[in-house]
Amino acid sequence: MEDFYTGTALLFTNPYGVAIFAGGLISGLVFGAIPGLNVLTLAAVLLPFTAWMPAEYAIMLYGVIYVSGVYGGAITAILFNIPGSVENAPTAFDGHPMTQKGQAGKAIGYAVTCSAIGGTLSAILMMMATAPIADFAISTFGPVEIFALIFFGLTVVAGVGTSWLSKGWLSLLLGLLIGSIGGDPVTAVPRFSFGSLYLLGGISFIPLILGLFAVSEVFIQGQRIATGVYRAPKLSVEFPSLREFWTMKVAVARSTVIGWCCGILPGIGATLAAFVSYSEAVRWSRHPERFGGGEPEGVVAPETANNAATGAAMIPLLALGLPGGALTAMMIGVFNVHDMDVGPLIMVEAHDLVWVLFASMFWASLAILFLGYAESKTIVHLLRIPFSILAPGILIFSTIGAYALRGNITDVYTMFGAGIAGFVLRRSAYSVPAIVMGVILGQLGENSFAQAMTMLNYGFLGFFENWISGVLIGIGLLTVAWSIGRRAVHIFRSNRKID
Amino acid sequence: MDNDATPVRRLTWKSYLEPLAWLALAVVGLTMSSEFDAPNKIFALGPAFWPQVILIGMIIAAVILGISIYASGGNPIEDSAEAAQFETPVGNAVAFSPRLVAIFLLPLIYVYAMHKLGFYLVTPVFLPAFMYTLGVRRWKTLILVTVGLYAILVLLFVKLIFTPLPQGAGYFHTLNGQLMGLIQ
Repeated sequence: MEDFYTGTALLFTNPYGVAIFAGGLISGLVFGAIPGLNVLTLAAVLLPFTAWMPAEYAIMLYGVIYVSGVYGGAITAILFNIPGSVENAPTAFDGHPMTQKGQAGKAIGYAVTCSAIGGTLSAILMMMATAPIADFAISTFGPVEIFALIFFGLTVVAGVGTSWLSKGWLSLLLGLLIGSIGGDPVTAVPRFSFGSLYLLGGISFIPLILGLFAVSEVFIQGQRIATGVYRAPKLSVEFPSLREFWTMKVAVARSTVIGWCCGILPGIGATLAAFVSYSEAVRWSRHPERFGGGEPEGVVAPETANNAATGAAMIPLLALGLPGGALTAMMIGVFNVHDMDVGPLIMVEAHDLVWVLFASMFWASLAILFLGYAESKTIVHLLRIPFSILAPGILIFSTIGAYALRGNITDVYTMFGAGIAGFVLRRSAYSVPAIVMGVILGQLGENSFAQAMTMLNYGFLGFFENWISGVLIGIGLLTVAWSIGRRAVHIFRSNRKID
Repeated sequence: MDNDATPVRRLTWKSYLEPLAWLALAVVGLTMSSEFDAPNKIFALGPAFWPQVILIGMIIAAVILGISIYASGGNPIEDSAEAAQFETPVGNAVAFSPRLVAIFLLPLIYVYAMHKLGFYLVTPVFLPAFMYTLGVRRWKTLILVTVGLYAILVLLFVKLIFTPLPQGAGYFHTLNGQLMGLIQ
């Protein structure tokens, strides 16, 4: 506790530190929210300037940007169906339908509060036990367990956002197939690349997500405008009540644990945390059929988890020098700029610096709550702007977001292709969330599957010899069987009614 | 029948187009995947294993979809009213109109033109054109929104964070470069 006070004091007693903290917080929120302006861009732009900052403030700045950037992307996902970054994509699955139902204020309220809770709990856990947890997590979770976790997550996805189970499965399989385009992860043999260099590298997530969500949304609303059936979403600044929050307690607790566990694994991080947490929310819900149509728990779960992953990602970074993603890798760069090496000795050699980082991430998570509360009362008024004026802005921001990623115009064509495909698939009752989850979890899944099979000497039963993977795969298979059985009974009963 | 509100659709051969399209995709994919050949056997299952499992799953799901369409008469098999309300009913044809075609075509033309003529020249034309297509008729709104949004975009992406945006080809590349230089 004394260390935490010291870190807080070092952070807030110096006006320079306060200014960097506030600047990082606000710029993270802004950059996280706008496609094309993700936090990685911000972090990369700031990297050279950190050389002139005291080391503790430079590291603190990155911690704060990380926390606020992960939350920032939720706002545009909820209001306009444009996830600011990949880890906010599951928030759009239910957040945007909530906006369409006139519950934008509530959706943002849930996102804000749960991001703050997830981030704060994660920061507390990070402060309590960095080194032992890092050792345990990294020695326990290998490719076998990661593949089992991804399989476990995928088994409920088919039921999200569609009332046709077979269409849900087809959506998921289409996503997995898209994810397999490009070089295979082990031998780099080209698959479905048609000799194209662009496809050889695989289809990038960002243009795909922007197309499936934002562009298809513009087309769908555009079609409604053209056919005269468009209805503007009702505006609401209503924040969720304490009672409503209380009903989410289990989801928050579960998502914090999932987010934390995923965040701690190097290379996995907030994206897997958000997706797995969403699918677990579906699995444990009494009304899984409501997901994809504006279920508040569909916002709570990914937003809690992706923020919970931020604190956890610091653990392997600081204790073992293993970055969990691009931003944490840049943090290693900041340490190096200041002639420091991350690893077990960092806690001793740069004790104050580490505690300034911990304290800043804790306070940043709390600050999100207040900033986010203000946002939920103000930013929803953007919905007052008629869609016919918003639509070109959405398309241009999405275009820049897709292009700026790699400076490749083909990414923009991919985005519009995905937008048209998303429009057709959404009209035909296919599930866009399932496609997106298939693409993202599929790529991670194939990689860990290949590693796991090599480790298990190609024996599929090896997954059941390890209790963690055995339980995850076993429950996953039971979930599939249960959902098929439930739908079969439903069809049988419906037919008997008609007869 | 208990629920008179549920429309019952007549099944035709068109009702089975969707599962047939999925089957065709899976068969083509499987055929292509048979040619994925690894030069060495680092991974014994080979590069085709993963996509083949997916494609076989797709065939099974497509067959189940066909059976479901037959069993349900083409109507969604809802577990609840909430699940159905966000879906567009199957078979609900899109009524094509010149305006609708323009809504789809304009963004594609924009991207193509941006590629050839550059972002800075094409965007101020696309913005009012798309708004007009979507029904904005007041010229003041068209001009103000175009100028305002263009200014925000340029300030944010060009002036503040130096995001590289498409500069077009040939002469337009030079022209856009000069424009960008002026802005910066």
